[in-house]
Amino acid sequence: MKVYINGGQYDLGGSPTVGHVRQQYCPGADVVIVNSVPVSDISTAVCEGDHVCFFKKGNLPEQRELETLILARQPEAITSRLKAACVGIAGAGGLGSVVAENLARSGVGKLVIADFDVVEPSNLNRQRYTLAQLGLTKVQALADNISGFNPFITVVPVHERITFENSGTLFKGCGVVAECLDSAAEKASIVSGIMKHMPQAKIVAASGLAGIGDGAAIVVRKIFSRLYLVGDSVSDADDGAGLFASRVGIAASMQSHVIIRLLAGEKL
Amino acid sequence: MKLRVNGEDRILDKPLNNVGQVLDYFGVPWVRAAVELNEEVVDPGLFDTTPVRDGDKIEIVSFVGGG
Repeated sequence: MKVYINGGQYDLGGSPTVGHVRQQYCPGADVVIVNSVPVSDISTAVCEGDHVCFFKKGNLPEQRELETLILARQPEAITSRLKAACVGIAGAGGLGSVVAENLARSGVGKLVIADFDVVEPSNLNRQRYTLAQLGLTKVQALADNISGFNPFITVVPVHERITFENSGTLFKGCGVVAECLDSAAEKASIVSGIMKHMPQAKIVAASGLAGIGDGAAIVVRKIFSRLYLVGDSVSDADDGAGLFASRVGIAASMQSHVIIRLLAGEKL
Repeated sequence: MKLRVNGEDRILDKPLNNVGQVLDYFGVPWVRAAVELNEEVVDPGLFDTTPVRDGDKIEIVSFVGGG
């Protein structure tokens, strides 16, 4: 029977257990994950088509196994769909830097990240950058960060201001685009631009995430035929409520979660 | 005049001619608005020249800032 061990395909005979397979392929492994589930009982049977991962803590994994090991806690059927996807991220600030990180960690195959700005100190309360990145373009800083935890995805950094007119060109080929801009006017303009220029694409936008209000007030609503709007729709950063990593992060995580569900084929 | 606005049938107390007037009627600043009219997105530069007719279906999103 065919099973996958750390990403490689193997033909096993008999009725092997996790313990047998570990002994043969990775003796001493203390992390055992079968079909995304950590397994401690090594007498568990290994079945046809199983995805089995072994890792010995403290070891440096083989490069060819690393991608599989990074994604070992995700079911293969979902991971393979994510890997085949291309997602656009419009803006690399408090929303975009978190959306990009979540999608990259989940193994979304290609991310097109567009932003015209550079990292500055007032970004650091909520955006996923470091002091050492002050002055770098956000798209480059984000691409560097991603390569530090998942170098197996393709990141296309686009250092350019997104407009109504160029949105379709910048995100060409993306099945889903996340709107992650800061200003209300830009949000409206870019969402309209993508709706108009990318008739097949789904859009996951955010509106209403400022301040320290109830996190659970941030919800997802489907508006239009292919626009998903995340937020409470009312909390406006222009009203002086401020922007906090926790609440902006809830909205960003919700955006990335909607995207993952869409890519996995869920009907939303 | 009757319009279906964000999924709800609304009777408006005056006739409106274009998308811009609908936005004004509902107090939505044009610059924050994304609009779909009968399931077609409306170019934000054309709000005041895109006609609306009795029975049209209009979806309006009014964005607030922050990100």
